[in-house]
Amino acid sequence: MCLAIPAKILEIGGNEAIADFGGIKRSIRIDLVDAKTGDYVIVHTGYAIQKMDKNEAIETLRDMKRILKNA
Amino acid sequence: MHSNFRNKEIAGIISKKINSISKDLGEIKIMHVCGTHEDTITRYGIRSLLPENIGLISGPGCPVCVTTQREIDEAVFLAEKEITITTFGDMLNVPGSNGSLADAKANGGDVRVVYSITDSVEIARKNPEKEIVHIAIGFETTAPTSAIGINDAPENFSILSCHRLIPPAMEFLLRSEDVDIDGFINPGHVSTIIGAKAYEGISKKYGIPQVISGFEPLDVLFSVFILLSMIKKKERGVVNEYSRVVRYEGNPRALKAMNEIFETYDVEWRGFPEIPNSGLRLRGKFSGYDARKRFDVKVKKTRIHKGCMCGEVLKGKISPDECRLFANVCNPGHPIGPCMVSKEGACGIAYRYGKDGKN
Ligand code: SF4
Repeated sequence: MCLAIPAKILEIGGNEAIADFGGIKRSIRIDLVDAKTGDYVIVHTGYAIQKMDKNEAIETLRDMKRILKNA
Repeated sequence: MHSNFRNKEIAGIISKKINSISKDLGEIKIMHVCGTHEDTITRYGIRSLLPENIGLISGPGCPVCVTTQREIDEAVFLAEKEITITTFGDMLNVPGSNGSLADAKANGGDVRVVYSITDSVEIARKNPEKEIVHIAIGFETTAPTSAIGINDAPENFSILSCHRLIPPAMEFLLRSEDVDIDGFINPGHVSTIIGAKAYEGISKKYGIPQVISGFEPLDVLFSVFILLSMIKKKERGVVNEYSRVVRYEGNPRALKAMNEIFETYDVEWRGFPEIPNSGLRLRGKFSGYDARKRFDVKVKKTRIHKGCMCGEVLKGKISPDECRLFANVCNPGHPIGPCMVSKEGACGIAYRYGKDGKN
């Protein structure tokens, strides 16, 4: 139920957008985020609930490696 | 990007570090409060990577599971009237006191599974002569979508709000004398909405460390490692491991939408007594969309299968296999409680992956 999955915004029209879920295209609502074409968003029950930050993902992986080395 | 968070080599390193840091920690209990975390933990066998003294227990993090028998009965009551019911799939087979929504459907009720509340609003718009009720379950992740749905909805649409909030349940557990928790793995997608800041008060008040975690195996393993390091250093606070999605402030737009439509009230959870301010109901201004008022929903005394220990599973007091009905009388084809029905329920997950939910 709280499952939410990443998708890429392909096209925006008003409150709706076409998003790419790893090859499957679906229409989603974007009322809850400030998204542009090309953004990755996390989608839950048909709504984008947040934008995903690729740099932060890289940062987290880097942190993991750094912390594990020093721990 | 996912594959990076599934790297086996790094998982091995984290597991080693966890083992060494755990040596002088004594018995530690870490609780998560999200069905999707339980899925990751069981699917990837994360418990088997932890030393014996580190327990990773599942809490009240499955929205379908914490829904009370009364709410299921209310949904069935509505389905037995000439009303179209829309629901997320997981709710369909949860047994109420007198059958499930699926039974109501088999008996001629108009019960439809939807993917989003938007689908339900659309059905209402296309069928102005019909009354449509959406069974609105879910935590902070889902409640904002219900709010948007209501903003869009025509007059013949209403909801049966079963929305609940996670932090009040965490506090309830921390106040309970019979539940010992040394740290929390906080739910990533609830946190997407409420932000890291929503948990700070809990850490201060109860002196408990919390890590907001993503859903890939490395996310969860690393979160366990961070928690153990915090426990060791006696650090209390909130660490955000899922920073690629969760911001400190959460999603202010979603919070605003949710707070405009809903207000909190004291509500029971399955297995729990009333938890203060843990439920969401429609504000007075929106009471026209409240199915309970609109259809004067009344259910008689509720009945629960005596052997079902869902409540104990949800409090993290037992693992699924400690219920005597697990995998024999109770299985996905014949579920006795919601913890077996839901894809996010600990019993169903343990059954699917052939695990006891312990290892
Ligand atoms: S195994 Fe079935 S009966 Fe036992 S607690 Fe889980 S859902 Fe209830």
